[in-house]
Amino acid sequence: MKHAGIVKKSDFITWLASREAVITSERLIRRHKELVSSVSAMEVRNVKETVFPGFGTLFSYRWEDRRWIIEDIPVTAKKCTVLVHPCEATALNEVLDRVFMNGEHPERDYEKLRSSLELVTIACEEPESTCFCRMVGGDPFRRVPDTLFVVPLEDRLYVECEEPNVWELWKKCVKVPSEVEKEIAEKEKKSREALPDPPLSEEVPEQLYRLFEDEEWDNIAWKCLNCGACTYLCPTCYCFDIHADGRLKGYQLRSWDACMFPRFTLHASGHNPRPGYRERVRQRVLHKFSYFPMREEGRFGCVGCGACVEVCPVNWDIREAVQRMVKKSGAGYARSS
Amino acid sequence: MAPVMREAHNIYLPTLYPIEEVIPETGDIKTYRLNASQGSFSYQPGQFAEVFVPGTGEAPFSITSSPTQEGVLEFSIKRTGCVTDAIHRANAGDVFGVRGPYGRGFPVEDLRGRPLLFVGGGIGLAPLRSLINYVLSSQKRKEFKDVIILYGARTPQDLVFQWELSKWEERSDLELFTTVDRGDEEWKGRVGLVPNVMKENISVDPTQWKAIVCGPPIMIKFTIKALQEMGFQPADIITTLEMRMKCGLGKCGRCNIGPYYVCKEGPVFTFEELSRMPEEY
Repeated sequence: MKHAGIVKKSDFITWLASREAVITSERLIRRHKELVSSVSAMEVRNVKETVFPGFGTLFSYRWEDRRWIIEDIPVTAKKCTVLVHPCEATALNEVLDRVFMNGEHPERDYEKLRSSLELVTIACEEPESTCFCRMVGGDPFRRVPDTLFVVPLEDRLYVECEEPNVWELWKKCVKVPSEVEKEIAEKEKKSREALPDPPLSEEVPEQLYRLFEDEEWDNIAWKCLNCGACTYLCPTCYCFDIHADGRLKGYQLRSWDACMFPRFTLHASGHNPRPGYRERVRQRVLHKFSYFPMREEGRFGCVGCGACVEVCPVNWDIREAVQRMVKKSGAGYARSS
Repeated sequence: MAPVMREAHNIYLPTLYPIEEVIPETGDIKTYRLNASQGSFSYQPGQFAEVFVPGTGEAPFSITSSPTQEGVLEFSIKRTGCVTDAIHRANAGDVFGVRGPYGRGFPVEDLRGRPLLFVGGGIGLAPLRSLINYVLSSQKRKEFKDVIILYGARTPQDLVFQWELSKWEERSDLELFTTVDRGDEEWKGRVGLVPNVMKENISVDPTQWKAIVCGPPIMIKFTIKALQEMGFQPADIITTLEMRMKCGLGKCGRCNIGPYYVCKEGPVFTFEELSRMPEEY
């Protein structure tokens, strides 16, 4: 059930300041400085860092009294309020949670970090030229489940959630006047119109899969430097590496890794199943737009935030790559709603 | 669907097991027998585990022992890189960390009641050996029909499990063919490539038999071709894939082929399944 309310901006800021810790993403700060400037918010470049740190320890080991000792290091989680846009919240809720929490081997530390987060989704009113959330099933005003949905207005905020009881802020909320409802609907429409790419049809994953051997991949891949910058800023990329650091005493470490690097799949024998640019770029595109949705009930492994497009030093654009292949396959787009 | 067990433990934490015995197999392959009587490691033939060498790192290896050997965990490991170098320096009494088992093993249920043709090349016999000894165990033997094992290596020095091949040779309930690509002065056995030796010596009813193949990629490719020429259907040819893996849990991403993770949906696949996947292994 949807509950909507209006809250004064000052009350929202007071509520935010009362939270144990506030985290927000770089792109949100850029747009909503006034909301977070009076709160000591921690800024993350990529929201996945909150649950899947770029670098962390899995356990420790040491040689002591002539024997090896292995010790678990459970993560310590602090209650955090995270301010994000709908694309970023979707990345956590629908992509990373599926990988690290909902499967047959849930990661204890991920679960712990994830359950200590409360997500506040700030509507995206001015999509940038790099944004394409609607193409992958998202929306700039998407009410992401289990989050507090917020639209900043002049001196107040429109808020919406499913369970008012879990949000202390709700006590300060009042009924939404009808003119505000109208304003929200208009903002929503305007924002949606700024994203012209219609949603990809649900046949796209299967149809791209059939184009695995297509020579178009060479044309798509040639410009890419394989630098991997996109994968580090991507809120859904979850590949990682494991490394033991220390001879007689040390830690088993985990760090982000990426399909863009040749050593990612290199066998000890020297054989490499993805030896070239073509294979690696194809892996990045197909994993997000074909393999992941084929495994996960149609959920694309991309939320359309555009961080990869924004950061790419050679302007390689994943939208172009997908559109080019979709055009070849004839899968097309779903009828726009 | 069965309810998912929530694991409250650290899925990356290995359990330490002492090495009971190190068996040298070839110039660069050794078999490690771990004492796994403490703990509750239970697995299916064809599954693999992550072996952790404290101070060096972790790598995935197929389990070569059979689940019918109680309290024992065996890995046959070829020296090829950093972790395997450290493994080869280990002796009886040292410890390895193990986490697993992972992946989908051999489809034992589908094999039950069927005659089985095992075709192994080089160290590829290691994963097959888990199933072979499972089938040959006194508890399970009656559940399966005829067994033929064809095993080949480059040279006589590259044949692994020679100490066990002689035991299999003596059994009356199986037929063993051994071959090498190149013989030497002492070698009195067969010389010839596995697929050729198979076509020349083995004649079975392809509608009844199941073939289980493991070896170097090139050997697998030609053996599957030969099996198809003999009339085997793709669904009756079973093989196991090798991929670089780190987590073993379908998360770290490197063993991904199409919508599958080799560490979860594999490493065992039928040729029918493989032919529907992109050839990226």
